[in-house]
Amino acid sequence: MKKIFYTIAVIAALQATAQTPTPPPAKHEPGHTDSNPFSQMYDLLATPNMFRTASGAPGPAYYQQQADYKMDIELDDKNTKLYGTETITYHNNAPENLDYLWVQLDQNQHDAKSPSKLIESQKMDAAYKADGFARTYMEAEFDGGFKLEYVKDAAGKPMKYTVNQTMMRIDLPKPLKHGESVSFSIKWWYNINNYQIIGGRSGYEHFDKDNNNLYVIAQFYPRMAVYNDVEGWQNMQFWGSGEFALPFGNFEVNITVPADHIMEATGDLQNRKDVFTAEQLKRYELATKTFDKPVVIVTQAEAEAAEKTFSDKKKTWKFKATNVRDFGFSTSRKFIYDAMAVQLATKTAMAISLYPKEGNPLWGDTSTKVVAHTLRTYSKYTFDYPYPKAISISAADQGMEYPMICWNYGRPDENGYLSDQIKYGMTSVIIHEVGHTFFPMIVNSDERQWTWMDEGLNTFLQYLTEQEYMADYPSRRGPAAKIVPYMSGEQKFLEPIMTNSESIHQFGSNAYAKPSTGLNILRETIMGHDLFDHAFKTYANRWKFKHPTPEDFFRTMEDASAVDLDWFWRGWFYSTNYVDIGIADVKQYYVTETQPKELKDATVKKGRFGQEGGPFVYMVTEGPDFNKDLKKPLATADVKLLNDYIQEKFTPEERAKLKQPKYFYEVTFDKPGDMLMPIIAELTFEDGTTETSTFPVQIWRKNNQTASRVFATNKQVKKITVDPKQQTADIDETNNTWPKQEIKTKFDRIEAKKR
Amino acid sequence: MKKAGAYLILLLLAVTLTSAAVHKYYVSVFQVAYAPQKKELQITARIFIDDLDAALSKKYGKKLYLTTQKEIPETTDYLKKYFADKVHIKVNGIAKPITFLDRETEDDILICYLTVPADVKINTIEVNNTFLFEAHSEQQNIIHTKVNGIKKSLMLTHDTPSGTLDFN
Repeated sequence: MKKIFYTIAVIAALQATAQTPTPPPAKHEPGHTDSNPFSQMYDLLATPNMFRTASGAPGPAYYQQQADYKMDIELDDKNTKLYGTETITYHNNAPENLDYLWVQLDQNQHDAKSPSKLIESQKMDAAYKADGFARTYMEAEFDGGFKLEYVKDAAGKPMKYTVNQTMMRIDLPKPLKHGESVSFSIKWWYNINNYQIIGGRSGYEHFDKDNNNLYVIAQFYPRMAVYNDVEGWQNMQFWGSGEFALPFGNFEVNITVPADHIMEATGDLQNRKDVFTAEQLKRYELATKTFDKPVVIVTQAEAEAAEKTFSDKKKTWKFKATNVRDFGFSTSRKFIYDAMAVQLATKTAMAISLYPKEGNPLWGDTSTKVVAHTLRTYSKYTFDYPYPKAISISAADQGMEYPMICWNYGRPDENGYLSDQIKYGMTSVIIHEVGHTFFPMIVNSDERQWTWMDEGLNTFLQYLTEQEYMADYPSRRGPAAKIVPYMSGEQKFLEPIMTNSESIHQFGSNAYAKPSTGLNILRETIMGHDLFDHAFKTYANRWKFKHPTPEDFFRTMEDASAVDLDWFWRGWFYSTNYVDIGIADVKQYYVTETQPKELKDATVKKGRFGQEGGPFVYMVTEGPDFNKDLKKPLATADVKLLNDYIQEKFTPEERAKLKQPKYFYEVTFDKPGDMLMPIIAELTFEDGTTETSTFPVQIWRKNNQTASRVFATNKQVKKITVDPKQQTADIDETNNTWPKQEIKTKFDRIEAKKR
Repeated sequence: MKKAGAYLILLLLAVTLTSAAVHKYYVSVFQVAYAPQKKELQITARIFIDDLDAALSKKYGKKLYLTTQKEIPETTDYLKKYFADKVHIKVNGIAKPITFLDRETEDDILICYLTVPADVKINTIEVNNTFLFEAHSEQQNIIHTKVNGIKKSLMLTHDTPSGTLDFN
């Protein structure tokens, strides 16, 4: 096809150009269905209904179930066993009857016969240490999993139950109707796992030097599964990656441990005076009024003394928690305990840390302050932290969250040395795990199905909290550029974020980094802080103490902001598309009133229907017939037609206010990547100054592969750069600049340095 | 390339730790780009500093304090040794030496720059990479390659520590 080297434009809009011969019609061009990325997501989102509205809010018929627990728990520290009896009262708020209940037995993942050990493919290892060989091939497997002694109804009669791996179905003698409750009791025990050997999100850590254990206990009791309008019973098995889905309820838990243990748990302690010394009680009272720094309540000296006593006596700690989805506790002789009060906008809460002496001085200096900072920052972006306290427990190799309590790794090494990596790692994990009290403990999404809903949202707020904790905090995830190595990978190892937790190849990148980076891009580049923060806060408040789905999040973010984001959800959450926007072409134009040959029949639109003939001001670019004399910046005086118009039309004062463009460019952008983004174009002028224009993502709304923009400037452009600040996760920057420049790689720089 | 030798170091830890929601994941990313004008493969490796520090300290029986002010002077030598031990690359079936050029720190990640000579048309690249496998049984080493505009990746784990990519 013949190239058109001349184009026209004038003060008004351009209408007609040269004629090109039309190619012969294609024989048969197939039609196609809609594939426009801006199409609204009727094809992907569940149809709104009375339970969940199209605005993303809970609907008028929204309901959720409730499960209340009364438990008596006893720890056998010598034999590392845990015993419990529990009474569950289950309230059916669903409109329909229930014939049976599903209860989760997560400990059964550690059962010697657990199928979750059989789903990993294995290969022969070439070398073993002796203990590893013995454990793998000779020793009996760890006897984990719940040993159920009974399941009884409220009258004490045995109930029929069936265990399927990590799920137990309890058959009800008569259907549980809407508005009715049923109570039943379960007695159980299990062998607690040493999580450093066997693995797991809970268990104990053993300290060889003083022969003590530090317990972090969770998923320790049979827990009700969620029943709702989306999944029915969420009874997908616990295979190991997809975490938990739990209904809200009230807990009364009595935990009996050796008398020399110090404990913390979900909920308010009811009998502090029975378990603390008089001196500790006084210190605790002081902590509740101290807002600037932690108060040590159980001192290191007291903890070191307790490490040696191995008391045969017992003490019972009594906790009560209202409206929580789960319960966890941690107990040890080794615990030092500190706490401070945290002022939030409408209330106060306690920030608490428990740690062994091995954690100091890091833990005493840092943990509780980080907890307090996290509560304040998350509260600002969501809602005031509604629970009475948040506890950070020092547990080797852990990072796991439960309502009001979490386990966090990071201690100085055995020589007392503390690297920045450990310090920041520990700070980040505390922010992250305390943050989980908001997502998913309060904004209670279904972790079994969607890891990203709590991990992605939480990692996003973790990033904001880290950056507010300290300027230039070395955050692992957040800025757009950090997701590029993942998103530029080969497609066969990538899944859309909207993929079930068990089926993801690169869990950390897919479920944590990519969604959190996406939210960061929305906030920084697409929506802006005000619109984003309001919408995000709306989502958190609509769904606190409820069970949201991905749709509820996607819909609310639009509903509260008037920013259409269907294209973003489609690309970033429902596909593995990546961003690659580049500069395809730049043409410089010069102004003349001499008519180029190709533009004999030029007309310009006049009004709605009319056409106007010349005379015109022509915009020409370099080509075969280009008159080299034109290659200079525009001086209005040289173009008589234009000059006459300006002299006649404007007063001298008005003329002084007119813009004085001298250089004219038409820039064509293309997008080898299919993920859409706004075009951010930075012009660098000859004097080194820059000017950035952002063209909204709707510039791609026609499903177009290219988009062009015209720039009229009064300084010559030396360079154009797309996405100069790396805000869009563009995976290939070699096409981001004009004139095309070899991007100096680190390798070139290293070579240059060596020469 | 002595494959068996490389394997011996692998499995000091024969325990399967469930990847707890530690929100700590054991992943290194190796980007391998072919630079035809330089006739070499350029490797950019991104590795979590805490994992690497722990692994090197254990393997060489001394604390390196990697990237900290207390870092010991022999650290780069140990790093070079570790790379030579753990990463093996064949181009068109022929083992090639790896040159460690430089390194820098970015937040909690150590970025290492390495090259491998490649003075022929590249048909295949075989990567055997057991980086940090001895430290964490769930370590994943992701290899992204780009050769003449073709992108291919490998995900190397304990179960599959090597793989071959075909660029024909």
